[in-house]
Amino acid sequence: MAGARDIVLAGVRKGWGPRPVLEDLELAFERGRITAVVGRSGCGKSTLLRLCNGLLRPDAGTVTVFGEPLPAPVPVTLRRRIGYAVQQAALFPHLSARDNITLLGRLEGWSAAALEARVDTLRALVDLPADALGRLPHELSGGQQQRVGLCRALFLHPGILLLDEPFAAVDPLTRRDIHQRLLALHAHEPVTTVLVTHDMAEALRLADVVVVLGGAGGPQRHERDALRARQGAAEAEELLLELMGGAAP
Amino acid sequence: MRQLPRALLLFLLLWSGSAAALTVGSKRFAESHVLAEIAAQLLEGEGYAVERAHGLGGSLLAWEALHAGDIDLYPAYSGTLARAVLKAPELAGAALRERLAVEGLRLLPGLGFDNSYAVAVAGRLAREAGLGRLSELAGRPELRLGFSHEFLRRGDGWAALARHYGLPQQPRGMEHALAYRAVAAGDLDGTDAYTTDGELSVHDLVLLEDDRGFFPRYEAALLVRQDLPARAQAALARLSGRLDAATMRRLNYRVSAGGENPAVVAASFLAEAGLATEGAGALPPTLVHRVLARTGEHLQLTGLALLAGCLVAIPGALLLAGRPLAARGFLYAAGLVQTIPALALLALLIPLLGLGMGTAIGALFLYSLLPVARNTLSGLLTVDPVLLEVADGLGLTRRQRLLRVQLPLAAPAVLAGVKTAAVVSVGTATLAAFVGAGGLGEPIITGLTLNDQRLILAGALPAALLAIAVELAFEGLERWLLPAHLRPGQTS
Repeated sequence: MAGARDIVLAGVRKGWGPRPVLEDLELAFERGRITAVVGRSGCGKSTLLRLCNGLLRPDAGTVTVFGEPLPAPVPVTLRRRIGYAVQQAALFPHLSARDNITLLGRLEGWSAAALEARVDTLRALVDLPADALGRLPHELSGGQQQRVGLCRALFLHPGILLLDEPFAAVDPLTRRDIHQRLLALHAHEPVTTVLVTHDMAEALRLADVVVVLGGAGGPQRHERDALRARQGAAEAEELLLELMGGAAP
Repeated sequence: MRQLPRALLLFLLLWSGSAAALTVGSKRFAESHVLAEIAAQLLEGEGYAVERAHGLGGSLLAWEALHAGDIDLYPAYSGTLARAVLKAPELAGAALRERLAVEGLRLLPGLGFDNSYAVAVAGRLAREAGLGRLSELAGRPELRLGFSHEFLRRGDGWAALARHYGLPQQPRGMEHALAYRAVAAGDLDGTDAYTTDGELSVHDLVLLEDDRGFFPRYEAALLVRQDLPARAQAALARLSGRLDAATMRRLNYRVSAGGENPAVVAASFLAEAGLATEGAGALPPTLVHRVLARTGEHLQLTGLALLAGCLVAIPGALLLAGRPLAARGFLYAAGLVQTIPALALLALLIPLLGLGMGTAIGALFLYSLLPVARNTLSGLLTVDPVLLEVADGLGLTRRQRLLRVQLPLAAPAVLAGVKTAAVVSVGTATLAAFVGAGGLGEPIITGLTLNDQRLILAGALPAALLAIAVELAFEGLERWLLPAHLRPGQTS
């Protein structure tokens, strides 16, 4: 629990029906670390992420970001300090890869030289071929789309990066490659990262901390190194099931 | 790109305002058309730029247009002015002119003929029996008379005429056009007629003199605004007394039966009467030139209306995109306008926008609102919600999201809406001629008035081709503006 905490959720409740998806949630994300949030579908992973950047408001409790309670509505200036990338990349289909990546920089009034320099840095880090920059999203492979989505989210040097199952739709080989790229990015720019995934192997590969949501007795927080030691012979999935069910054999 | 709409607007405004000319109006029948052409060409001979608003739909419309200054003059009839317009049938001559002066109008001295009711008898009968006056019919109960149904029914028709002159005959009712032929063939001895009817000049018919003054006078004269330049009024006054009934019948016949263009007929009259100025505008433009000019007007009407429609509907839709209730209200109102028949909408707009381009453009503008606004709104609202959430999450403002994401993605729908509006406008704009706004409807309506198929086709064919051309032009525009995967009919 050492170090500053960029996001703190305290007593958070969120739900749409009679049964809340999240209740009495106490959770914090530490500066500069990658935290993976895992859990089965419908456990509130994506909801949690949207609470962190104010796309959703909690029914109860508080969300504190960068030391301040998240205002409503969230000002654009704050949003731009929180990178956001989602499943299937969701690139703007009418903009080229370059224009998708640079959109926020252009809205912030960056010079052409600054835009180009930032594109070059990010492109190299995620290993996106230069000729892909001029293409429209539908002309890119799934893996390339994800890389563009990452670059777009990181363009303004945000302090926080929120990733909502961003690698779910790519093949395993590509996924492994992007994982390495994400780690390279993080080594270069150690941004506080929250990664929502249902893939325990992905969580173990990328995250410093794994939070398991949806188990009995609220979220459980595990240091990756401790889990790795426990993993031993067990498959990643089995470990996840064990953590969620809380009933170790 | 951003300068283009402004430049286009400026161009269209200059184009529409280019000729601050005199405007001559006419009503929807051949004689009115010919007289208006004669006046127009005379003024052109004096060096004036003259516009024509032919085929105005009735005496009241022409009167209103003149009153409002949308036209400067039109050929009128004293009896019509007194009865139908001023509702004061007793007014005639100097009294009528005084009454018109109060309205700011001036009835020039008569052209030289009356277009009123008369009774026509076979020429053979007139010569053999020395029949020349209506009063002489009283002593000829054996004569077989056939009258139009309208003349038999009218209060001032047969019954009153028979009382006035003590006529004993029992007339039959029949179609007007058939009656002439029946008289000419000897099956009938007499019928009712208009004194300047072109048909009279080909059949051997004699008009009986109204010797006891039964029929009201319908003296033809040009009715002008008093603010018409004095030089123009003086030029027009030269026509006074120059057209007798026989001449007018002949001119009418050339148009209605001979199928000649009223402009040509007018020009030849002016030349015969020695009123034509050398070379100045007397020669009517060729058919091709006229069609081109009409097509230009047509494009101008639809272009301006469409531009105005887009300038209101697209920003309107952008403003309403976040307000579903207001958007629904707007679409409902625009849909309501759409249900108003075009002619009714034109009539409703005349008091507001006057006769001519303004009203026509106003109506076309209102019709273009719905397709453009509806398509723009649906385009904006059907953008993938995930993209909208990502845009929010990344930190785009509402406005940036609307302009940078929603609008570009809605572009295909917007363009499709504009295309629909344009094609519909090109078709609907043919009705603009009813309010004197010109366009390709002008030859169509004139053709209908004169029963001239060629003229109808000269308007209808270019209008149809124009609609197809507009459709193709928009397809080209789609290819040019939209990336391939966003074009209609493509899946990404």
